[in-house]
Amino acid sequence: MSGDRCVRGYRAATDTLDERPSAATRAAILAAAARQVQAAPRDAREPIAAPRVSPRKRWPYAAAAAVLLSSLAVMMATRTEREMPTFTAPTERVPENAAPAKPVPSPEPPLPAAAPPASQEIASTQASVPARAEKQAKADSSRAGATIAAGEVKVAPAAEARAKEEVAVLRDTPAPAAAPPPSASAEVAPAALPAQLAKRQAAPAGEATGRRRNESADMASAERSAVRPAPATSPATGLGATTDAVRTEADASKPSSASEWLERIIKLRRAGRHDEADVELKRFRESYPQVTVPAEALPATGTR
Amino acid sequence: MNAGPTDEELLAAYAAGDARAFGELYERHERPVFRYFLRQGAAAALAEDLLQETWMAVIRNAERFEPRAKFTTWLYTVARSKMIDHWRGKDDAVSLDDAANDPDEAPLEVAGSEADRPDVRAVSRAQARAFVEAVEALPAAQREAFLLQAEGGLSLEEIALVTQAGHETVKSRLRYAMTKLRSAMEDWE
Repeated sequence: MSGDRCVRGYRAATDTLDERPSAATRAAILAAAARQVQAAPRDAREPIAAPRVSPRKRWPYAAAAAVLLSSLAVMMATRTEREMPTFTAPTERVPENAAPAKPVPSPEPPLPAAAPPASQEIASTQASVPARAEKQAKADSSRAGATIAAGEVKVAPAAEARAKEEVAVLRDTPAPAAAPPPSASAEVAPAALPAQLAKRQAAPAGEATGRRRNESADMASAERSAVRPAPATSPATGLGATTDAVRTEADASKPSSASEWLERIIKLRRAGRHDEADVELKRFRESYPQVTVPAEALPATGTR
Repeated sequence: MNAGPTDEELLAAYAAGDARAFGELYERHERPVFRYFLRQGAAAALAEDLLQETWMAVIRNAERFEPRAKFTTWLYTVARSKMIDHWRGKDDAVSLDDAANDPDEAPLEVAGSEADRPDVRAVSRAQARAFVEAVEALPAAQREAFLLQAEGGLSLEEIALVTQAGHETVKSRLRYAMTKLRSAMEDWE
C-alpha cells in the first residue's frame, strides 16, 4: 500500500464522515469578507445581479414623504388663511337722506302767476337740467359699475335707481337749485366760495339774523368741500373708489351750501309743492342739524 | 487540481474588490482546513473558532499576498500558527493524542443511495472512523506532515516550508506516518 493510497483512503474516509463547519461560521466569514470589500455576501455560483431595493424597504420612505408633504400643505394653507385679508361684502349703502321712491307727479303743478321774470329762462334750464342730470347719473352708474368688478359688490343697480330718483327730483327743481355735477363739487367749491360770500353780503338785512348761523355753516361746508380730496376716478382704487362713488352720488342731490338748500325749500313751499319741500327739509335737517331753519321753509302748521 | 481560476487569481480578484472570488476560494478550502484542525486534536467548536480566525487573517492580509507564493502554503501556515497560538495560550495543555477522539461527536450521514443501506453505511462509517482514528493516533509531527499532504495537497518542499523543518525530516515523517497507517488499515482491508 503506497503513500498515495493512504492519502486517497484518508480522503475517502473524511468524505464519508462529511465533516464541515456550521453554517453560522461560514456566514460570519463570508460576511466579514464582504464587509472588507464593501459588498453584500453572495454565493460564488450565483450570477451577479444588480442590487434591488425591496418594496418592504421602500414603504417607510414613502410614508415619511407623505407625512412631510401633508404637513407642509397644512402649514401653507394655515398661513395663507391667516395672511389673507378678511373681506366682507359691503352692504348696500342706503343714503341717509334718500326719500322713498314715489312716482313723479306727471302733471306739473302750475306755477303761480307771480312767477319771477326769469321763469322762461328757468323753464329752458329745467328742460336741459334733467337731461344733463340723467346723463350724469348714467355716467356715474357706469363708472361705479366699472369701478366695482363684476361679482364683487352689487351696487350698480342701486346707484342707477338713486340716479333715476335724483333725476325725478331735479326735473321738478328750478334751475338755480339744480345740483351741480357730483364729481365737480369738490373742484368747484374753492372757486364758488368767494361768490357765495359776496352773495351773503348782498343779502337783505332782514334775513341777517337767521342767516348768520347759516353763513357759518356755509363756510364750514365750503371748507369741507375744499379740503375734501377729489374723488378717486381710477378703477384700480378698488373698494375706496366704490365708496367714494356712492358718496358722490348721494352728494349729487344736495345743494352745495345750506343757504342754497334753504332757498330751494322755500321755493318749493312757494310753489305749493309741500311734500317735496318736507322731504327736502328732512334731508336738510339731517345734513345740517345745527342750522336754524327759517319760518318760510317750515311747513305751515295746521293748514296741512 | 482545480478547474477555472487558480487560488492565487481568486485571492487577487478578492483583493481587487470581488467578494464572489472570495466565496469560491473559501468553498475550495473550507472543509480541508476544518478537518486539519479536527485531526490535530481540536474539538468541533474550537476547530470552528480556529477556522474563523484563519480566514479572518486571510481577509485582512489579502492585499499583501504575493502571487509568486502558493496560496495553500500561506493558508496552512496561517492555520498552523493559529493552532499553535491556541495551545500555547492554554495553561493545561491537552495532549494531541488525548484530544483526538471525541466521544460526543454526533453520527454523520453518508451521501448516496448505496450508502443509505444500513449495512453499507455501518461499514463505511466504521472504516472511515477507523482510518481517522489511525491518523489521529499518529505522533504530532508525523500527523501534521500527513495532514498537510492529504488535506492541503502540499509537496515535501511546501510542507517543509510550513513546518519550518528540513526536507529530509519531512520525508522521514511522512514515511513513518504511512507505515503506521498501512498497518492500521490491514485489519479491515
